[in-house]
Amino acid sequence: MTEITQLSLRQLASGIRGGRFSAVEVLQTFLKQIDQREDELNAFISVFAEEALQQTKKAKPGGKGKLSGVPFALKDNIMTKGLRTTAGSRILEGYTPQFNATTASKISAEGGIILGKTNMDEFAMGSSTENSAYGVTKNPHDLTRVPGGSSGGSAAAVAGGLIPAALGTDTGGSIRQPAAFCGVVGLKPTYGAVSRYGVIALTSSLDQVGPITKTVDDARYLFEVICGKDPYDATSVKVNPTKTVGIKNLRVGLPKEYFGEGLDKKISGRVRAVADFLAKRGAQVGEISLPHTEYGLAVYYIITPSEASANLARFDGVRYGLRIGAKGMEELYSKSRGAGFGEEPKRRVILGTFALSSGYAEQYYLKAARARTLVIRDFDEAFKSVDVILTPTTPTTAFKIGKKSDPLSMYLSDVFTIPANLAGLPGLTVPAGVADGLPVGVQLVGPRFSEELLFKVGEIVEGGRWF
Amino acid sequence: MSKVPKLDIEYIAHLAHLHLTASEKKKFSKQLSDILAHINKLGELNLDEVEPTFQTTGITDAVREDKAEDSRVLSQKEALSNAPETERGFFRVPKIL
Repeated sequence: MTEITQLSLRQLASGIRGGRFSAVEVLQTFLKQIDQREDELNAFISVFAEEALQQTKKAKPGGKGKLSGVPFALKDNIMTKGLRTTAGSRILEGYTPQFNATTASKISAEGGIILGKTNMDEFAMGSSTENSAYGVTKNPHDLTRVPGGSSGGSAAAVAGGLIPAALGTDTGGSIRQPAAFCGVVGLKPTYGAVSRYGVIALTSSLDQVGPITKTVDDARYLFEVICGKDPYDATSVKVNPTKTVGIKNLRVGLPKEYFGEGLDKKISGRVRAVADFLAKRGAQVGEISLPHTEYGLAVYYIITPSEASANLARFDGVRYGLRIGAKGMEELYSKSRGAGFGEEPKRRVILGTFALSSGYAEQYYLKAARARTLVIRDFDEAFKSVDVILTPTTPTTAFKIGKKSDPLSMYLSDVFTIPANLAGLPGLTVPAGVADGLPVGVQLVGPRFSEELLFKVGEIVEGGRWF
Repeated sequence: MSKVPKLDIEYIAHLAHLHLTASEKKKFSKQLSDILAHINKLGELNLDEVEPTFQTTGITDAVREDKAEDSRVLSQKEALSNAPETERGFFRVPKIL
């Protein structure tokens, strides 16, 4: 039954519904895959084989859900009731959520089975899945390389055939960058399109949940299940899709600022090949300018640590998580946090606390919020003349494990994905061949709620036989 | 924003209720100065007339009826289920006063 691992979500769900194979057979196929490859990949923090089997057996054959009987993996910062959730942190070791994230509930409501929780950089802070208290995840294409991050476990699990599809979260590229490094599809939806209720918050004004899948249509199928306004998340909105355009009328912009220094020439070549491919099919492809691109990273590295330092204040050793015994409250907070957080969360809590502290908040946080407006205006201006923007997803292919030891060089790996988060725009990465044997992704960014247009263009790119 | 300010790591760690070891303090001081130097790039921009952006949905006043929703209210037992220490239905902490 190895063919089961090749099937799309629609094929799996309809195959189970139609009795072509059973949900238990599907589950066992993927459990076998996990058995064979998980030791070398370390894509999962938890695999709930027994719970998933019980749930799959209980599911009625011929069930109506869109995902009936299909197993899924969720990034381990998405709460799953009764199933341990760690956010990759030691401070949440042994934590068992008392409620489900809305995205987890939606998958279950459509008959999907939650089989496991994937590895991630601690609290989604990182771009390599090396900052996890549960070990490093490896790239299935080359075990000496990182899968990207922070949703590296989800990307590696899908790329390695360990799960049909997974959810990740994306604050500055954490879905798209690992999807590109692992040669799979990843969508960061429009900010507000998907509920974040029950997702352990990193940067509340940027975080979004989205699918990591083998194909563009799988991403569409899963996005349609998880999107929508949620009364439990006050930042979620009703999805109001933009009109799509056919390839003959499609206007594609290549932002010149993305093709400068720091971009691997082979990746630049892949993006240009995709641009030519779209042009040959009738699209108008031209250069555009997003003049404030070079400030995006600086804006991001003020806003993210600032919001993160506030969000991480809840980990105080009182209501949940690790507690280090102490004489007074001050010592209890400070020692529990000192022992529970890894290096990157500590670094960002310090940076964020500084950027918000008296005397510096205006100079840093407020200034970043103003510069963020300029990044957004660049996109508004660009979308007056183009329908989608085509960019490299990452400046390089997957790098070697342990190679990026200084934080700033790690931060630079998200330079092309961060702007879409700052502007609240959807971004889709689609595989577009290889460079030196490693996967390359191209990114499509569109106006708010243009997900369907991105999927349509993404499917054309996907049809390009880049491999 | 022309100059990178000196980061008083002791004071910041105190504000953040975060215990750091001596070697962490040393390491972070150096790394954070590098990051702040990069961030100082924003000083090149004239931002005085630019409105700040704090969110991108445009939602204002997201409110609901002030009524408890039974479907997502945790029982006392559930609420305490992850607590490191409890006593008679409460979270237990060291003596405060």
